[in-house]
Amino acid sequence: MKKEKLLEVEQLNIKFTTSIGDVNVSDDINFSLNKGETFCIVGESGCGKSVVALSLTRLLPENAIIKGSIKFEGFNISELEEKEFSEIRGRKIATIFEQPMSCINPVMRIGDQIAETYRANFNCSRKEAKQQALKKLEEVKLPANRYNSYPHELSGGMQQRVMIAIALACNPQLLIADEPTTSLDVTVQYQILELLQELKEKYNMTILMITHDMGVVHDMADRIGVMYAGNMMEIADRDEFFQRPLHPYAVELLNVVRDPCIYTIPGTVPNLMEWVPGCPFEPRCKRSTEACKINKPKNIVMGERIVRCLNVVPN
Amino acid sequence: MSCLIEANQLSKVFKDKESTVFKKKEIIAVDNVSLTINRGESVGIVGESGCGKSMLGKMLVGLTLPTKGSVNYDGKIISRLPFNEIKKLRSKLQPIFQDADSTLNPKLTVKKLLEEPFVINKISKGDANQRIDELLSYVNLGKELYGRYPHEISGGQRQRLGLARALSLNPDFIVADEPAASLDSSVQAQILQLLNRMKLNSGLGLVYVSHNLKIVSMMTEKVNVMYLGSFVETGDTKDVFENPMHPYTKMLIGSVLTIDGDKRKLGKAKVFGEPPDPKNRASGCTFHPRCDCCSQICKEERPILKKVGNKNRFVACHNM
Ligand SMILES: Nc1ncnc2c1ncn2[C@@H]1O[C@H](COP(=O)(O)OP(=O)(O)OP(=O)(O)O)[C@@H](O)[C@H]1O
Ligand SMILES: Nc1ncnc2c1ncn2[C@@H]1O[C@H](COP(=O)(O)OP(=O)(O)OP(=O)(O)O)[C@@H](O)[C@H]1O
Ligand SMILES: [Mg+2]
Ligand SMILES: [Mg+2]
Repeated sequence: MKKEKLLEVEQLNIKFTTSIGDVNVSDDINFSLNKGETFCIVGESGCGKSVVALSLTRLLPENAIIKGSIKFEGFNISELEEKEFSEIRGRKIATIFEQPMSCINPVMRIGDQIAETYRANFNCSRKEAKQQALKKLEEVKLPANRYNSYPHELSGGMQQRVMIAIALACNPQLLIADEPTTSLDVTVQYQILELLQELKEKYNMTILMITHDMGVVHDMADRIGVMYAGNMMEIADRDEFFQRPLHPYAVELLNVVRDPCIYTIPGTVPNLMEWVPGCPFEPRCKRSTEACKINKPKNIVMGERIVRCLNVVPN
Repeated sequence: MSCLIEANQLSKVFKDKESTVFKKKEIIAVDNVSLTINRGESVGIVGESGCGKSMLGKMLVGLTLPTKGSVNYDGKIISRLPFNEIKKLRSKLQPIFQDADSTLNPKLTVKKLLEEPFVINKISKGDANQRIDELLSYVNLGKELYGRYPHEISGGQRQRLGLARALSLNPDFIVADEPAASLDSSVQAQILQLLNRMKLNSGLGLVYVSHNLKIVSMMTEKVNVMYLGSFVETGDTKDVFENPMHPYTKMLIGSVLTIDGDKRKLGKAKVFGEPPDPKNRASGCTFHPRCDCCSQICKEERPILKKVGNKNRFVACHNM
């Protein structure tokens, strides 16, 4: 079965200009999302995961300089005018964040917020919007009698579900979830992830998920992208990744997650304001060679798998 | 092993702001909890948000006074000591907070922040500097950060700065409240290993508070599972994780996602309901509305911790 691509990111380069120099957050990143799959991005704090995700819907601040092409359903959306682009944001690509209160209006009843989002996009009657909002509440497993609640009357997990309901109001094709469950209890996290999984299957929705919790990745992901210092170091199928990671950073990362009381990755996190000629992971890498200090590794493509390393032994 | 901290029947009760003269309302944050921590031992406290973990931790290091019950340290009942006496013990009983940021004065540089505990305790500059060097290497922070202010370093670096300060005066006892929650896996691992070393080398007693059951299972020897202010299951960590008995413990452990094996877990565990609201406590067993083996007695009578089997295990459930 040929996989249909929903999103294709090519040669994505992002930097922030600041008064003391540039911060390079995305270095020639390429990846694509197949329709209906969950793609998880993992990597150290500050490596550029959120910035890459935000760039897809043009939500970055003004000091960001973005280059590269982003295709959505085969259509290059990186060249669209802002007015046309806003048709895609929210309607076709929706985003949810770690902090639900950043996207929920604190003084508006939650049901009305979902209905409003629906109405703004589908131009229907109030009555129909309310019907739809009730349906969404049911889908995210909030009782209908919560329609008139205000956000502060809900628990953190319920607020998270309201945000998901708002994001889903327009049946987006792509849901970007940036650390959606990091601040939640294990039990609530479990319920939210189960919900996302259910909705994904029901609507054949594509999910781009960012998380530092490998347990979550293990359960949710179909494919995984590993980032380090603005580079996409490895892209692999879930099973291949957990059974046999190829990039030295991915190997170390999994070792640490398996045994945090014994393992660490020695060395410090790279400084994104410093230009390095070679591989950014080289100073911490066990397989580093002289060449790694001088040459930037190129992507090595092995079927569906991509690894950015000079010393990868293909099979 | 000698006993370091002994807490007897601790309770912490707040008055609800909504309470009136006619209708008194209380929030019971911690409800009749007892535990002991020995030297060189680490004890875990797990449970959902709002169950009283942090409040219990604060009482153990004398940061807040219990409404009822007592805490003993080194022959002193610290829960009865006046504030200035507790302050003298502060270097020995150290909290590491959930939000490291709030404990760092934003107007001080990293260097000043590191020196602060030594200045307060009137320790000579030479001794202090030597100790600071040691601490920085323990927590893996570089001196290039010296001149910066807290907001100019990353979250993980701030967390480690807080840790270095907490460790500076060789404490006897540490309550680590989610010390690694916001860190990525590799920095998290560094901190866990540091705490483990201190425990082994200097007989530190440790209470480890966390949502992250995976880490608690690796870091601690004993564990207490807390629900709505009380312990519902206590025992040796290995036993509890291998064979959870209380339905709540089962639900908690069932909802942990791990990377072991090929199988996905989602959709297989039974997780019900929302974490409870301390303002609306259920009658009888407070867990009964979420329990899948609840019977009539569970709705009426509050179960107490009872010894189960011949190990060190206690469970508060009518259906054992
Ligand atoms: N407006 C900005 N100006 C300059 N640098 C920025 C700006 N926003 C982000 N950065 C930098 O870009 C880098 C990537 O940030 P990003 O938020 O994508 O990290 P992340 O991988 O999502 O990390 P985390 O896991 O901690 O959320 C960081 O080093 C950050 O300091
Ligand atoms: N000053 C206060 N006045 C009233 N209630 C309080 C006060 N401080 C805490 N509480 C309540 O006591 C309960 C226990 O709080 P605590 O901070 O110990 O929870 P926790 O288990 O640490 O949760 P988390 O995992 O979210 O940190 C909560 O329900 C909280 O709302
Ligand atoms: Mg981020
Ligand atoms: Mg807490």
